Amino acid sequence: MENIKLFLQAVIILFAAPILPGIINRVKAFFGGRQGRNIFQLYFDIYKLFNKGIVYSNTTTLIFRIAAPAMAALSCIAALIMPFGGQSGLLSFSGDFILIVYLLALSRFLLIISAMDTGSPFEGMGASREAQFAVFAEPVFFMSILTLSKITGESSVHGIFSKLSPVLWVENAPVLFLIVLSLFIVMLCETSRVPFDDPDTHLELTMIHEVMVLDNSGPDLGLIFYASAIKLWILGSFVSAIIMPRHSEIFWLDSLIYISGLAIVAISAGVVESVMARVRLLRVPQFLLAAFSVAIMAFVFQSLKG
Amino acid sequence: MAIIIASSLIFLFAAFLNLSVFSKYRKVNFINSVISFFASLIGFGGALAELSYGGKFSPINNSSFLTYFRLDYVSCFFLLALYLIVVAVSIYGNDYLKKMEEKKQLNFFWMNFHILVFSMCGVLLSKNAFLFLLFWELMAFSSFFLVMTDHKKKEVQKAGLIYLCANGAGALFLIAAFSLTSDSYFNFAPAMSGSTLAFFFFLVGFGLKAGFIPLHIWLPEAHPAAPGNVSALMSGIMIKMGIYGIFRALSLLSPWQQSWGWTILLIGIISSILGVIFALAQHNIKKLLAYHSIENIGIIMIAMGLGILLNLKGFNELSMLSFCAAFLHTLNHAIFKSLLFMSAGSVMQASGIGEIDELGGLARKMPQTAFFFLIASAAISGLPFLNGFVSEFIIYYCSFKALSSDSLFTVFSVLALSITGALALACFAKAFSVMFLGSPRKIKTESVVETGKYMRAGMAILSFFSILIGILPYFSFNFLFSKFSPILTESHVWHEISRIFIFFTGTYLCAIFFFAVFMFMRRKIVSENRVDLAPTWDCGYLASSPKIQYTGSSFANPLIEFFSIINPPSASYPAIRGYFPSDNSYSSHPRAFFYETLYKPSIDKMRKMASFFSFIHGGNLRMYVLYIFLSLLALILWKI
Repeated sequence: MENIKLFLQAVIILFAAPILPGIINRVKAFFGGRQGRNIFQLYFDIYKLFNKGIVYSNTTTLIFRIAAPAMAALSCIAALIMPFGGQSGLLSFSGDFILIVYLLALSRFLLIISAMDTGSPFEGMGASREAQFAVFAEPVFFMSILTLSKITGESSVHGIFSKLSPVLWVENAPVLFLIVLSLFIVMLCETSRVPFDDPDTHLELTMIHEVMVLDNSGPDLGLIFYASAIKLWILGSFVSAIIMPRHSEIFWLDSLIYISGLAIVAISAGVVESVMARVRLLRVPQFLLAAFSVAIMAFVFQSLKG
Repeated sequence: MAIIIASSLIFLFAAFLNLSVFSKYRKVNFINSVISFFASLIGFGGALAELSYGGKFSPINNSSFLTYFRLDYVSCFFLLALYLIVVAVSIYGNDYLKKMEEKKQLNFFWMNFHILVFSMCGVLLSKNAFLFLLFWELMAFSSFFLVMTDHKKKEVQKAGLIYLCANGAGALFLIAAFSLTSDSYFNFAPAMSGSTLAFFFFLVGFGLKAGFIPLHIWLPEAHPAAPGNVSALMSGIMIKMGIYGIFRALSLLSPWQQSWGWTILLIGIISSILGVIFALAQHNIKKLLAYHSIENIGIIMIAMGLGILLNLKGFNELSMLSFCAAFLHTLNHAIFKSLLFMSAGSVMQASGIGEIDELGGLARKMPQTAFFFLIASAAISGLPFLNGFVSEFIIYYCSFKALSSDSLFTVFSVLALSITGALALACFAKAFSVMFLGSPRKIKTESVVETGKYMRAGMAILSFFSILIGILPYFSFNFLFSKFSPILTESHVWHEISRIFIFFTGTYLCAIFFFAVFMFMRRKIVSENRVDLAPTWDCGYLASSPKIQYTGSSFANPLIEFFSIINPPSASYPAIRGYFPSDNSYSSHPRAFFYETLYKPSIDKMRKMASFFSFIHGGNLRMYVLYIFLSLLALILWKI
């Protein structure tokens, strides 16, 4: 039975992830007074892309050709380490979030070098920005996880998630609130959403993530869309697990809570996207440093308490 | 022990051969690289055997020889790293030095190479302060001559001078420190008193060799000046002798103080972050790599500082594990940094260019070198699948495990590691992609060909070990550290980390499986449809030129701007005059911040002060005799 559950979890993660961008789009459409795209639009997009041919730039090398499948594979693996609701992930060990962060870093590395591989100045621009923002976002993530680990006394994602409970919220509300804030900001930055990057923009000079995949086409582009949806799922899970702490031992109920938590995260991302403009590129590091100070504040509060 | 001594004696013997027999012989280069390859292979085998059988392999026991030398776990570990690097570097040198051999005899070069390896063995084996310093100085001088291989160039002379000064200063501190920590026969002995003073002397003395900030100034000068294989050997293993020394010093000095741990930890944090920030701004590939050595020494120091502080807090197992991380990172850094210097040397030899921004598109011409550089870049950025991640993970693991209420230092180490990791990723994404990808920028790639097969073989060996340790961390970690300390191997922590490492391998296999599935899917789809080749998308602008590509400087610019408070680059902006400005130019240069703001002013001041006293050494022999007489008199009077 346990094995079936684990298998089911993996299937749900790998197949449900593309819904999240759909939810965000629907929220944006609601705010804009439009009917909006189908919630499953990304599935159709990926399906369509998988039926197309590929155009490779003739400056590119092998790196460009393996980057997209490798990125998708790395994201999937990182997602499988994540626990599902209250259940442990397929792989769970002490310090597994470090592996998750570094698997995502490897996929970022591949994205950057494949963008540089095309020799396009626009993609170079995006690559440079992606590398720069990660420098500010990663410490925020680690700082938040440090605080979480300190509150719960655990050092694996599953351990941390399973110790989170409504009771913990009563005792540590301010700290947890600050952590949610900083993790949410990190999520928006790492998944290239407003206010850091606008997935809808169509001016190459101002884009970050979208500009790096200008030369990807067909199945490759589909895999990259898929990988970023999974990344949103992974980072959203951290926020979701804190805002909707699990409180039952029933698999189905926990899973439902977990997924509805993710839906709430996606809706909030959509709301942020609708009510906020993108910040100027030069302001992004300051924005992330603000998130860093929020994370440090959470740690200081926690230390003073204990 | 016998095998290792034999192999180090082969190196000494080969050095003498170069002095005498080979001096007339023409194919010196080939013979020497073969000798060095086999000698180091023997040594590597000996060190492996010694590490796994621990002591059973030494027939020379209880003889007087052993009062001066010893081979314990620590020496053995460093010898393993040393011989591994020498195996790769010597086979690499066979092709690399061919061009140089056409111009001049290489006897002197190879003699110094052999002496350098021999003296490093000596440093690692000696148990006596006098012998240690003797080998230490031998190492300094032979490496100095190797750095000065191209001695006619002005910048090489400057680099040599700085390196010599750093060595001299370091030796003085070491003599002072050893005078506090050895018995009357100069054997190492625990310090009786003044151990904090001795610690700081050791730290400065060994630090000048290891090259952490602010004692790093010789590294970015000497590495670009030296030939590629020498940089690989020096940056890969010679600077690690400083780490070895600090570790030995720590075992001589007790009790450990909290302030030592904090000092080492803070030095590590500063070196790792500043080192990578300085590296990001560099235009020259070898300078960039030299600054990354500083960064990685910083990471090793973080692990050591963590080890000391954890020990003082009572986390004995975690402290031992943290020292394991320091050792493993030493080995890992030796592997990937030598690999980086060797592949950078291949690029420089093939293209004749060391400026990153002028290269580009080399992956088409030198695919294998590009692959090796990519492996090393990913490893040094601490990415999974490769060895750099294993040691960094252990440091993270120790920090997270020791996260109790009063251990603020773990927070510092986690933050420093995460910032350094992200910055290193940016830096190596820049270096790799600008050198090897895109279209050629200023370089003409028509004449560029892949490097010789011996050079590639040397790089392949190191890549193999980088991947081996990365993918199978459980086996390599168990092999390397099962004799490290019984406190560790019998603890809960050891079992947990072993379990984690098995999970790593499992995760990697799953990732490879997924990758294969996606590749297969794509192939299946694409074979039914078309694959087109077209120019890069340029937004409809059809006169694209390689000049508009992003360069390394433009890639790194946002980060350099952000950190310009710490390291302002010197830039000359063009003045724009008139309605139709004509040709103009802009240039920016990274500055050697510490050299220019700290060392140069103080050296200038010292020169000025010295000129005050120049009348003392006026060149008059009778005056000098008088000085000798006066000082003798003073000594006699003082004794009475």
